[in-house]
Amino acid sequence: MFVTYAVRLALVVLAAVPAAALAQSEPCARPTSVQASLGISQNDRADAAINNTQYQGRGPQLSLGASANVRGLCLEAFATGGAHYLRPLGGGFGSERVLDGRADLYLLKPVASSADNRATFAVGLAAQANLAGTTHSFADGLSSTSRYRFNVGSIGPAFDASYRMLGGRVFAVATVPMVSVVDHPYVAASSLDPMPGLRVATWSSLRGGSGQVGYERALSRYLTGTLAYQASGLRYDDARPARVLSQMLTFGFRLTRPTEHR
Amino acid sequence: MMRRRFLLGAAALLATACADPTLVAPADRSYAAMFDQLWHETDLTYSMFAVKHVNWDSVGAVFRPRAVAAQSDFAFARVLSDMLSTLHDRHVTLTPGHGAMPMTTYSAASDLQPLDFDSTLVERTYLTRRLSAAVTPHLDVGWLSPSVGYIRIPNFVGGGWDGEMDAALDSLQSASQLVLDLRCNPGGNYELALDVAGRFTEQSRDFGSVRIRNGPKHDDFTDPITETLRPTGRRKFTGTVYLLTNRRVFSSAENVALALRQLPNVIAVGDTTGGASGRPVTRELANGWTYELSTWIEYTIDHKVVEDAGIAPNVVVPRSGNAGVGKRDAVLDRVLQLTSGG
Repeated sequence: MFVTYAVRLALVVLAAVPAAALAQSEPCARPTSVQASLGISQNDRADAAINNTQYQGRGPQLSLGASANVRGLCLEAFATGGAHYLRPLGGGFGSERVLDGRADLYLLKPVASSADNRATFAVGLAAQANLAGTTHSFADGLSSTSRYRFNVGSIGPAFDASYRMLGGRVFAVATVPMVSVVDHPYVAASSLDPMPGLRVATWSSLRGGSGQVGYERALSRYLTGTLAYQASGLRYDDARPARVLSQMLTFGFRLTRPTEHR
Repeated sequence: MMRRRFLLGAAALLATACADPTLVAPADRSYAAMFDQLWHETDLTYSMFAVKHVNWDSVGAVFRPRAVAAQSDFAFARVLSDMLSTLHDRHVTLTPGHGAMPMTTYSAASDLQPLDFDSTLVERTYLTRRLSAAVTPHLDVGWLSPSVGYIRIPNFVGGGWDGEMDAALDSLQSASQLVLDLRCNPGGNYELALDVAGRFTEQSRDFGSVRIRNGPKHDDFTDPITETLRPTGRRKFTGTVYLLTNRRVFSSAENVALALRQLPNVIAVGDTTGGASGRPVTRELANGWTYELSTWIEYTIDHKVVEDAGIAPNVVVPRSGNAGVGKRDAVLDRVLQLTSGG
């Protein structure tokens, strides 16, 4: 019911955008393109299903993305993943190996732009999937390990702004999960119980958001270089609360379709 | 001006990225806080309060003052261990520090009796030929007679060595009957144990079920999840198997007994298994001590709780009093009678 309500609300917002604003705005801040980025990410996690300690680690991160203009709407897809070796903060014990991945799908509609098209602003809907598998190594003499999962799928509003400056474009994207589906096993994952135990979470039990700011500049007619910083946080409250904060700094390239290059 | 703002913004982002955000409050390592942590986590995690008929609130009320008043880490560990021992669960242990031995919190009366099994007696007196330990380092393999093979599995610790069972069965391929000796096997890796057991079936068979604790209330459990024995490995043995068990067969070894008992070609001989079935998970206290708690309840195929009851054999060979091991292995003697049609 919540999902249906959120989707309807978003569609109403999109339909209500003033035509005058649309007439002045660019179709999309990003042209039809594909992009690949490589960078480093920092992962902070505290999952009470494992213990009450915060673990932190950095690792390489690979991101892939694509953008397209579809009938005046901007469709953007983004996927990233990485492996992290996490150590405890604050004198905790044990260590963790985390494999995580994230996929985002944005459907944005331009709603405003400056007269010279230097600044643009779009709103829309975002669907996100965050998947994380953790292998926790305990600090006991047996070096025993347990496996845990924390997977979240969310939808919520998305915002996209860009501003042309310094010979390129500064951009910012933000989204907030309003309704989520969570797979967070109560105890360590078991081979007998491999299927997700999904629970619906609303803003009262799952709060978070993600944002990205970056700068991109054309390197040639079809190639654009991008530098971006992305941060996302989740706070999930149930009998086993979990906190996750991911930060990522990436550098990459975007290949633009010739006919739509601007 | 614009360039300066941009650079300031970039610097702020980098500073944010390099910071150590705080997601949880620092751990309190007082005895009171750690006692509360252990009690609370056990309350949230342990699966068998109802099976063991334990009132955990009362247990906490009794032991908390003793824990708070402890004068040393050793005394504190003793109190925690005593509290956990009220659960009467062999899978519940406390390891007070890296490198320390786990403190066994519970021993049943049968655990205190002298051992009724001696693997060296079998090797000295019964085995006519043995396979080199270099081929199957996790198994003892040999012949009891020209047609009866023997495989002993001391434990299911570790993983990835189930292929040794193929090598063992290769060497025993002319055997028409097989003795699979699980006596005194304390268990280990659940998946490994079932991979080993899968060498004795050519079709999948359900053999039990588990319900996993999945919520804060003591009766929060998943629906029953069926346990299935699936064929594994390149070598199968489908002749008559005599499965030897005793009171010191625990945990994953009991899963093997439970699974193999569903097979028509398997006859269990000896004594009932120990009845420790909870699948433990490890948890940590704020000072790095670890403890283990059972997280599921296991049931036989006819819905009886395995914990404490164990798996009964088809052919019971009673212990010879409290004398421990004699010059003969009574269970193996009975099996040899059975193999010769007795």
